[in-house]
Amino acid sequence: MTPRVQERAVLRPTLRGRTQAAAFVLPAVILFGMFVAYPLVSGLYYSLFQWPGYGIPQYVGLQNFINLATDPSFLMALRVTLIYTVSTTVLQTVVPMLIAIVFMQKWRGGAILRTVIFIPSVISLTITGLLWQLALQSNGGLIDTLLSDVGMGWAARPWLADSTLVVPVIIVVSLWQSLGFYLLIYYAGLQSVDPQLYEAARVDGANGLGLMWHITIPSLRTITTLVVSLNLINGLKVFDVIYAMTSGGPGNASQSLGVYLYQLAFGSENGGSPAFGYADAIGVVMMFAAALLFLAVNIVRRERLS
Amino acid sequence: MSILNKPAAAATALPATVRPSDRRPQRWRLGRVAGYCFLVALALVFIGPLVWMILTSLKPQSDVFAGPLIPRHLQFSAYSYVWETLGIGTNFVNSLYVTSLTVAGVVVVSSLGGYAFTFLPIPAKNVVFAILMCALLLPSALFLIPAFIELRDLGMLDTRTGLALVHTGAGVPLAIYLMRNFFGRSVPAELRDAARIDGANEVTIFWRVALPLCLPGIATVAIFQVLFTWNDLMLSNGLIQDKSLQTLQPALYTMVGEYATNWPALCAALTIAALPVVVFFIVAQRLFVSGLLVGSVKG
Repeated sequence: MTPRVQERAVLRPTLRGRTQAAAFVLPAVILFGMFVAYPLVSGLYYSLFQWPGYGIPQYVGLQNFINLATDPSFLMALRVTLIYTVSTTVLQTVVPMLIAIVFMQKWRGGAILRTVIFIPSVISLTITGLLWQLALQSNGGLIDTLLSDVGMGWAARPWLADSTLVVPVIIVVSLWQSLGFYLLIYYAGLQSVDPQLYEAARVDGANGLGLMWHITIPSLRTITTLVVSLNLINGLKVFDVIYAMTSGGPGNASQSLGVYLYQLAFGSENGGSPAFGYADAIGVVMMFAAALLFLAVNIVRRERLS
Repeated sequence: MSILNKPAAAATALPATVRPSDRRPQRWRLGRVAGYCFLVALALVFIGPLVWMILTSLKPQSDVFAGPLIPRHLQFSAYSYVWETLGIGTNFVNSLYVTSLTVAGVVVVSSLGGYAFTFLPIPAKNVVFAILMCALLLPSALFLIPAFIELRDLGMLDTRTGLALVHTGAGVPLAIYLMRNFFGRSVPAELRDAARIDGANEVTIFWRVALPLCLPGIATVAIFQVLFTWNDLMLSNGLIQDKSLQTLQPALYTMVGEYATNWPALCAALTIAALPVVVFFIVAQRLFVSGLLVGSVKG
C-alpha cells in the first residue's frame, strides 16, 4: 500500500496521464454502458409504460406496479421465489459446510470424491433441469425405477406434476447441482483456519463437537457470508432450473419471478401478446429485492463483527 | 493458491475424536468406516443421474421404458442422429462461436480495465468501480427486455455476435473485479517504477511487465466466462430466436419439448452439451479453485 501512496504524492496525474487512463478503461465502459447500464436504465423507464414491444409505448405511470400488487400470478411467483430463496440459502449454506468438515479428515480418495460431487456444478442449470425432468418421470424415470427395484414402489409420486411437491423437488435438485461448488469454497476456507486455535481449545478441554461449534464454524464467518450472499442473489433471480424442469408448472405452481417475467415477455402468458412494460416492472421489483437483501446481509455482518 | 498448498499444516489441526488415537483405536476405525460409507454414498448420489443419462443415451429406444437400468448392449446411433439430423452439431458450433468471442472480448477489455483500476488515475475511479460492482448483484432478467429492444434497433437481434456483445458487457464487472485483485497482488509498484525509469511507457509496462505476471488471473477470468456463457439460457433463448443460430442450451430446451419420448436422443444431446465443460473443468480444476479464493478468502 505504501508504495502506491508515495507514488501518488510524487507523480500527480497529468492531463495526459488521465487521458491515457481513460483510454484503458474505455472499452470496458463502452461495452458495459451499451449492453448493461443503458438497458438497465431503460428497463426502469419502460416499467412506467404499457408496451407490447412494438408501436408507441403508452405512459401509465405506476399503474404496472399497482396491477402487480393484485395480480395472483405475481403473488404466486413472489411466494415461490421467497420459498425457493430461503430454502436454498439455508440448505446450500449448512449442508456443504458440514460435508466440508467431514472432508477435512483428509481420508485417502477424498480428492476424487470431491471432484465427483463437484461435477454437477459445472453442468448448466438447463441440463440439470432437463435431466431431472426425465429422471423424475413416472414411466422409465431413474427415481421411480430405483424405488420399485428396491421394493419401495409405493413411494413413487408424480414428482413434478404435483403442485405441492414440485417446489421442494426443485429445491432438492438445486442442492444436487450446487452443493459441490459451495463445498469447494468451504473446503478451501477450512484450510486457512489457524491450527493453533484447535490446540488451544483442546487444552481447554473441548471435544470434537465443541471444536466444531466454537472454532471451525466461527472461523468460517467470511466464507459463510459469501456463500449466503451468493445463494440469496442466485435464489432471487432463479430461472434456468425451473424453466427447464417445469416451465413454471403445473399451472403456475413453480413459477418464479424470473420465469414469470420471461413468460410475459417471450412466452405464453398474457395470451401470447408480449407485455414488455409489465414484465420490466417485475424486473424492477427484483432489483429492489436484491438491494434490500444485500443491505440486510451487510447490516447483519457488521453487527456480528462489532 | 498458497492456501491450497498447505495441507500438512491443516492436518495437524484436526479434532481429536477423528484422529488416530492410541487410546481408542476401535472406535476410531468404526467412525472412519461410517464416514467413508457416507462420502461414497454421497458421491454416488451426485454421479448416478449423470451415469444414467449416459447409459440411457446408449440404449435402444425399445429398452428405455421397459428394459433394465443398465443396457444389454450399447449403441451409439443416438449421437449421430442428434448431431446431424437434429442439428445439435450446428448449435454446438454456435455455442463455441459465442463463447469464444465473449471470452476473448472479456479478457481483453478486463485486462486493460483491471490494470487501469489498479494503477492509473482514472477520472471518478471509485464511482465507476462502485457502479460496476452494483451491476454484479442485478438479475439478468432485468436487462433482458431492454437489451432485446436495443439489439433490434441496432439490427443485431438474432445474431450470434449481438448475443456475444451482451454477454461481454454482462461479464465485465466480475472480470474487472478479479483482474484488479490479480494486478494488485502480482505486480509490485516498484517494478512499474523501474520500468518507467528505463523509459517504458504505460502501454509497454502493461504489455511487457504487468500482463505476463497476471496470466493466472487471465486464466481465471476465462474459466468463469466460459462457464457463464456456455451455460446461459435466459439471454441466449431471448436474444436469438432463429433455430439455426441458437446456442446449445436453448436448443436442448426446445428439443426436450419436441422429442419428449425419444430419450436416447435427448440424453445424447444433453451429454454432448455437458461433456465439454466437465472435461474443461477437470483439466482446469486447480486454476478454478485458486480463482474462487481470490474473490472469497483473500479478497
